[in-house]
Amino acid sequence: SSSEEKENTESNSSAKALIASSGYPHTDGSVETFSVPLLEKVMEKTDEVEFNIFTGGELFSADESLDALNSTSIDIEMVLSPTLDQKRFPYSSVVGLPLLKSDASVAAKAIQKMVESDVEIADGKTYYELEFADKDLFVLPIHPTETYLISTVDEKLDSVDKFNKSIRIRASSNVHETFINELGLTPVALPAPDIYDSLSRNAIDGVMLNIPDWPPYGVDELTNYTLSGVSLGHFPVFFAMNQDTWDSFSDDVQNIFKEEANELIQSGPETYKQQIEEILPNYNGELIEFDSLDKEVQDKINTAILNTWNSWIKDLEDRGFAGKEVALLWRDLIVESGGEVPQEILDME
Amino acid sequence: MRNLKRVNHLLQEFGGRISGIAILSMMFVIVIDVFLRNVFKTPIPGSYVIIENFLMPIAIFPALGYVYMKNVLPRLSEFVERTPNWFQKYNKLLLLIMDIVVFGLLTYYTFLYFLNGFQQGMEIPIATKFVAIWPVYFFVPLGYFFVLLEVLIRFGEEIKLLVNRNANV
Amino acid sequence: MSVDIIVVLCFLLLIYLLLVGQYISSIFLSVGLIGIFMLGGMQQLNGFLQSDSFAQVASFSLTTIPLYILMAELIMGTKIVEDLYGLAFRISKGRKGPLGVITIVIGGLLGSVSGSSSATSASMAKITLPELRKRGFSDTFSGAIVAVAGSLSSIIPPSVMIIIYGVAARISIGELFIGSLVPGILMIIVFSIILLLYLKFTGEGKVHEVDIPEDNTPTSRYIIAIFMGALMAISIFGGIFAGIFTPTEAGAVGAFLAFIMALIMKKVNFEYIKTALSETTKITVMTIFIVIGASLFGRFISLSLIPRKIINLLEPLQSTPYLIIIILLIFYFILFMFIDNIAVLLMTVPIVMPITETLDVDPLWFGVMVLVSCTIGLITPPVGTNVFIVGSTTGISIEGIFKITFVFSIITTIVVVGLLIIFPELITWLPSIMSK
Ligand code: NA
Ligand code: NA
Repeated sequence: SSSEEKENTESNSSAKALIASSGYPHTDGSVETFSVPLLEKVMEKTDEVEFNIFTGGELFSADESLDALNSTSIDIEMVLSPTLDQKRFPYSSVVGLPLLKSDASVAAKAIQKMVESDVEIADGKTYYELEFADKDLFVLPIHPTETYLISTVDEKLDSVDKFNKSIRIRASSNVHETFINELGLTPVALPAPDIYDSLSRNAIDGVMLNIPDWPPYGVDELTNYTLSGVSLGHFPVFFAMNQDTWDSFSDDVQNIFKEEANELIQSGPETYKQQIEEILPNYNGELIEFDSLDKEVQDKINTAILNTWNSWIKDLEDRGFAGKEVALLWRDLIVESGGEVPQEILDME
Repeated sequence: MRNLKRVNHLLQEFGGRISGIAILSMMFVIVIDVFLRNVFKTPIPGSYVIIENFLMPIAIFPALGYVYMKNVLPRLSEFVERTPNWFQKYNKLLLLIMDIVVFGLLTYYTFLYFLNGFQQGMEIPIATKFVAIWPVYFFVPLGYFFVLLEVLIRFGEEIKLLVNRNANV
Repeated sequence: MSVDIIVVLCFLLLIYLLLVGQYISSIFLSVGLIGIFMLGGMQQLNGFLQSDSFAQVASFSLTTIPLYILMAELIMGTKIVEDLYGLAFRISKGRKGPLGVITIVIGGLLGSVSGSSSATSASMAKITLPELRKRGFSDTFSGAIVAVAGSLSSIIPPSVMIIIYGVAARISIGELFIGSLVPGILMIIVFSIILLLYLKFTGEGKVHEVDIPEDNTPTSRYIIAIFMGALMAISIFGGIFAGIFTPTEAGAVGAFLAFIMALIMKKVNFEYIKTALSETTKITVMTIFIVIGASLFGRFISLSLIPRKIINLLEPLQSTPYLIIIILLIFYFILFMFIDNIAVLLMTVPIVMPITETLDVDPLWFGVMVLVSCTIGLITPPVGTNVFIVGSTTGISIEGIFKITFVFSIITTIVVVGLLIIFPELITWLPSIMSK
């Protein structure tokens, strides 16, 4: 069998293989549960296309995605993260807005609907047209990350007076920074590899992360409280290539891509759910249930969620984008897919 | 040629100073950040993004030509010093030509990157505000251009030496 | 042209350019550029040329390089280290052994706060090397000690290399930190023993009475030096462990403290600041110039798929796991010699991890072994990064330093790697009791 495999690798290198790249490591949730299995399934089902897979920023880092595609140095960006390039992808960070209830599967359904939506956002164009088609990109939505939660080391965030500026929380995007500010806490931007060290030495008091991302950063070992039962938003990710690359595939290949992507976006959230079920029983910290909190605290969190939506909308509109329209679309799709948002956001028009 | 050399020298020294000031600023930003974070529990918003995307590139690129000029870049000199003179002469020219091509290409393509960023008005969020990042992109082609300038001047000198020597023979 | 021929040609070109004395940064840039061009043409190359330089440099973790070097430069300006070495020298009555060992221990301590071995060896080359030379060590031997001492920063926690490996391989960073503690100390001990034996069995150990500078330093200066040095060390280590600042930030705080100290000692003038800044700029920019080049070269190596092909060749050996592990470690050792360490980790972990999983090897043990081989790779010819940095910072012959560090790397490989293979508990025992 080893000689067969050898032949295989040789035919791989002689065929014109397409380059698929990601700035995230192979252990990253999106790479592991979507992009790599998708490419492998496609190669399994057809001999028409070959892919060489590069992860961990071997070729380009995650924030260089669009430039790497534009320069045609790579053919496929396995995990396009619009949040890292909000100048050119202003709308997708809507997925990061805090909610009340949702999970990866709710967010996956909502993002699929948003990509297919024919609701006009601005200039008679849909979300997909504004965000991707106008840049000559073709994307397949990936299930977003699991929901973000706030975990702290010493501070138990269960009464209003505990929410004060002396608590420093590591945020992973500017939407999260706004939300942490609105809660009355202090957001800190830190490189991800510094999380473990900063948490263990109290350089920060907590982090805002999703549970499947806990183990690599030691969040499950180091934090003692996690505010749970409230869903503080997701991280949007897409499988992307230039429209020309997509058009170069036969109908056959395109259909395999679409079918397999559709299956993976449904099974991916299940994998996240399993990971949570493995991580949570070993978590030594305490889960503070949102529903069990004082009304005052619940109100504080609700207000912070509402204010974050408003400030996100205002920020987009100040920069000349249709913030309100895309926010309302996302709200409707989240609710339609089984998620919940505060009443004031439901009432927004 | 002499004037060009003088201008080059001034430019490179200037690049080196910019770098030194950027490194010093990095130190102060971090120290103030640490101080505010621990004493007043309020860090400088976005200090990490400012250091990474603004101060680091300004600390490195303008001084690329400076370190090239100051001969601090490492190389293995032991073997080539034992080769015959004629080889060393042409070898030097060949290596300089390679560097002209490499840094010429880098200057050109990083300038395209700057132009692209300028046209799109590239911005990044610092804390919760968006700030233009494209001006920083300019330091990259500038840095490579400084190296190119230094390499070209060295090349010119080598050629002059070669011509003079041949004329003497 | 087949990929294999392109790779062979590029490696021949790399070796040729190395031998004819091209700058290391230029070699990496030109071979990377030519390689990517041959593989994918201008169409593929242009993206890397456009954005890679900026993306490499705009990195918070790289700030450790300028800031730790600035700290070193500012401390050096206060002459504290000179006085401390003078004192150590007086106490050791001119014997070179204790001085060399102290240097290695200092390398371990500096390494433990610094993420970057390049920064550690560059700053040590600045601070300690002139002192060693003054005390009668030969140029090449002092260079070798500094390169060896600086290499420890990859293995002594907190190390950026450890963090990157932990994230890439999804291993608890805390366990990796604790697991690398015993091997780190072991390496300090083995390095020190090699140093003492080297002094004993070569001419290097002889004390040249004439070379010893006369010491008229008043005792008060020693007291100030000890006090200031201790204050400095306590504030930096204490600050890190008390969570006042991160190891990445410690360089900046240390530089600032050194500046304050120099003010108190009335050493600050325009010349002091100017020298410190221009020296910091030179070493920093030189180091990062190489990082930029190594990155482009690493892109070429990735695109060529050569690492994967090598690993595919290992598959028939599945039945003899230890043989594969030794081959993998040798492979890592060679890669670390040639390519930027971070690039090596990022490009191999995705391929090597599945293999080690099928072999049922403890990933923690394997990770620490990789980091040990990385440490040794930094001082092994022909491309031990640390030796290049020490050589270029000081002007000492790189070839001469390599002759000595090669002895260190061979013996350490046999002793340390051998011990860790025979007694894996040296790595796994501490983490196992800590997690209970
Ligand atoms: Na270290
Ligand atoms: Na190396």
